[in-house]
Amino acid sequence: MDARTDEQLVLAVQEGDVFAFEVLVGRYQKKLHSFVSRMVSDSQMAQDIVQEAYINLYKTIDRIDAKRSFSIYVFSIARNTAISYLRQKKKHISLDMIELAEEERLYEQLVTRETQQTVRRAVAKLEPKYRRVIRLYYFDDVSYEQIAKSLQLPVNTVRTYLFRAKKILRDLLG
Amino acid sequence: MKKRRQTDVTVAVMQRIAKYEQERSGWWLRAFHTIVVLLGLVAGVFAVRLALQVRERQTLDMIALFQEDAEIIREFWADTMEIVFVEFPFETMWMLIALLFVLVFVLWSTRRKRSIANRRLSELAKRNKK
Repeated sequence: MDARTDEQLVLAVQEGDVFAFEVLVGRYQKKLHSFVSRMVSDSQMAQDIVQEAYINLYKTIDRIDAKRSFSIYVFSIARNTAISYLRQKKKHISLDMIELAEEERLYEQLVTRETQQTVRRAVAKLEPKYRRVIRLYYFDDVSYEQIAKSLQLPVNTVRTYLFRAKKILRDLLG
Repeated sequence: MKKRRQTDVTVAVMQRIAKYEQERSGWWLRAFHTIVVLLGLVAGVFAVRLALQVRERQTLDMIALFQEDAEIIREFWADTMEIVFVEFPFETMWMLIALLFVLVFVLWSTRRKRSIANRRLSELAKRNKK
């Protein structure tokens, strides 16, 4: 751990000690990362911005007044870097997001379709009394009472059939 | 909630800074040396030209008067000095002085920046050796 203050480190960098900057990088990187993360939400992007901010900071360090608070410079450069980074990436991000969303939607549709087919196949394997109850309750959205009425069964029997049917389906679907 | 991944950026940042600094300080020192060498060369050309013109016109031979007796010096020194002033290639001499002044100014005004650039490069070279 380097005991030098920020002011001493900035002066050292200005005097040609390149590796004094390394101490400053280590000292501020966590704070900067969480600061930038609040602006961009993506951790990897935040890391890239932090790196870029440090490079920008180093490029201008000769013009920094070492007596003034170093953290003010660091955070304002990080904020400006994040803003320009976001501005630059804006178009790419929106295009990427559209493509990603479309891919996700397509994948979800495929998964849903496949799941539906698997469930239907499993339902078809059930005994007719269970199959009827399942279809009415889940596919046709009919209540216990209405199923009981239409099948002329007691409500509790409908519940039992449903319970047993679900158990069999669970086994069939693995 | 997704956990945020954060890795140490120090190494990556310092690698980029080392590269940037090598390019910047290296370029600056090369530019400085080029300017100094060019100024020195041009000053050299003017110095040679001045010397040739003085030798050709034999202007400085007139100053040999001051090796004569005091009486002769007293009688001819004013005319001799006038001839020297008329014949001496002052344009070339002022150009030479101006160039030397610029050269000294460049060396003086960049002394701090030069030592910083040299220190940065030597530090980077030391780190590279390790």
